[in-house]
Amino acid sequence: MSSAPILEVENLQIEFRTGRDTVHAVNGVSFQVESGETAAILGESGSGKSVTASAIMRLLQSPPAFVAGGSIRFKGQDILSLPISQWRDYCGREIAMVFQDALTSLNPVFSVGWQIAELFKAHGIAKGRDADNRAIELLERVGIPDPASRAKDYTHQFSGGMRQRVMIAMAIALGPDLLIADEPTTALDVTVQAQIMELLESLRQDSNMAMILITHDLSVVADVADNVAVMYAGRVVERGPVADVLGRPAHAYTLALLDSVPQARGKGSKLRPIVGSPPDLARIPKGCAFNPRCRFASDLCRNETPPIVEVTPGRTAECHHAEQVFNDG
Amino acid sequence: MGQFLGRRALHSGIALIGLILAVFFLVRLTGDPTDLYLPIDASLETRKEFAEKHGFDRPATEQFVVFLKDVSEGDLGYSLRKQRPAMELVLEAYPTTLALAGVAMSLSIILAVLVGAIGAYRPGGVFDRISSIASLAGASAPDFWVAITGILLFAVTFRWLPTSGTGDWPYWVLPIVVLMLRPFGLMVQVVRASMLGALASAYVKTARAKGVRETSVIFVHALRNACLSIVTVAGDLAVGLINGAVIVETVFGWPGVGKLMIDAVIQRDFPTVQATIMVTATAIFLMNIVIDLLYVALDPRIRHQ
Repeated sequence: MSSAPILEVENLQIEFRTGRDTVHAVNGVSFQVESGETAAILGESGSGKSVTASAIMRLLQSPPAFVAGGSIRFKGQDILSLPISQWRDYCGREIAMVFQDALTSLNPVFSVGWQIAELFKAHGIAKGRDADNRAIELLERVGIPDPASRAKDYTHQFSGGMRQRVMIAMAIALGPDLLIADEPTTALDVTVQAQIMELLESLRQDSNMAMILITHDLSVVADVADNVAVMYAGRVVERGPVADVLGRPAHAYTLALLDSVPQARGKGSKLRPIVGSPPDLARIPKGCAFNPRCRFASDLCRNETPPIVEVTPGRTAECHHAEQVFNDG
Repeated sequence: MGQFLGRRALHSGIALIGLILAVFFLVRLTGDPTDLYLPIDASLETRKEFAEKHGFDRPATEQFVVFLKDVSEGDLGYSLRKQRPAMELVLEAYPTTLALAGVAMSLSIILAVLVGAIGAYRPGGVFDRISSIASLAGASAPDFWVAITGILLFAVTFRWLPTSGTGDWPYWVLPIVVLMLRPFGLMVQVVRASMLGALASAYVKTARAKGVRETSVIFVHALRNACLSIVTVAGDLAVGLINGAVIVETVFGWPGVGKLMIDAVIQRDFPTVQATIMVTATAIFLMNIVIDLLYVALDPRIRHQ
């Protein structure tokens, strides 16, 4: 597809050290994002997907969060070894992030125009009236009516969907090469969700920007992503092209996830919720982390960490029973 | 806006009338000023003449009616002690108080914001620990004790600073430092607490993700939000200071309105007591208006309600 990946995450491990417990939020996550593609990270809350995103932006509060191992390379540059002030120069300009809740993620006491214009000022690209005008252009580009007067308004004067559009305007302002969208539609109404996803997708195509879409919503993944990484208990348990992974899963967790969602599979199949709850990340089960909830679980799963199995070229699953799930699922 | 200010003025007017009533009758309970102003062997006739001249021979309620009539004509009476219009005395002393309070308050705010914000940036760090202890000590140290200790140390022992009065900058050092202790100590804690909240917020994360410099993140994004609670406390403390810093002004012989008031109370100089109360109450009313306007300026959410 293209030459070097824009982002390579290699065996990333992140711990939260709180008092006597160490919470292993991310336990050796690896994935790549090619330039121009949409990569989805799919998982339940607590699977480590947002922590991974924050780690890429270097937004984790430390303490309590510590990167215990692994590397993150952005355009070939090892970002974890960069001084934070140097990494901040990349942020906004080459890599940007859209957060889940635009209401709290936008500053309540500055006008939205000011907050967008700040990007141009912070990166020394434009200032004064020029920066303000560019902010207005961006508001127009993300579909906010009457942008010139809306730029003077504050967050609380916008609806949820409009607020998320402002957030997106900020993220694309400097034309980044990689956009991380962390549950960009979770806080929104269903009808608005579709509009926001459409907007993100069209902006992405316009500028051939790569996107990491973090979500727990299977339908969103199916609609827009090229590749997907399914996360469970801080590990990527299955990876591959979206159509293949969702069409014919090779990991028992992915299969269980699909079975538990109404719209994801064809009609006629019964809904089967995943029994139990995600593991306590301070006490991750031995063997495969999913084994206590898995209907395929065997003694092997309870004792041995599963190997990474290449199911078909370009597709991997971390499951002792990958073949069985893939063939019978 | 006009409606809001009008309502505030009405409320303050009512409060002011209540205050005047209380002060007018309460000072008269402290005793008869005649004893203090005439020599101990003054004749009965002289005493009677003094009481008649100032109206003290009439019932308090009647005195009050006369007082109200005079006030409505802008006359707050003559100081018994200085034989000058009481209002003149107050307006002479007030700028001295305001200068002292203004400098002390401005310095407290600037220092507290810096110290509190830096402390909140690394909670539990060395700077945070030291500043927390220092601010707690500052907020809880009794000012009369610090004032007297300060005089003993810097004025008497080292002879670096004058003991009392006003003049060039050396006269200002001790009163300002003593006056700053409490506002500084309290505000460091408020700034720290509200900055902790602001720095942990999602919008600060967004600012960092935008590549905004860390100083801007702290002093623009976070501080601007923390300002709201800082203004509440700073406003309260400022109101306390423009009241006249009675203790500090008395200990340092600072010719401000606090000292004027306490002297007038001790000497039963009723007209002066009444005049100081009326002027400081009006100043507090104005200060509260300024604080309300500041809120409106700082928080767009209030502006649009």
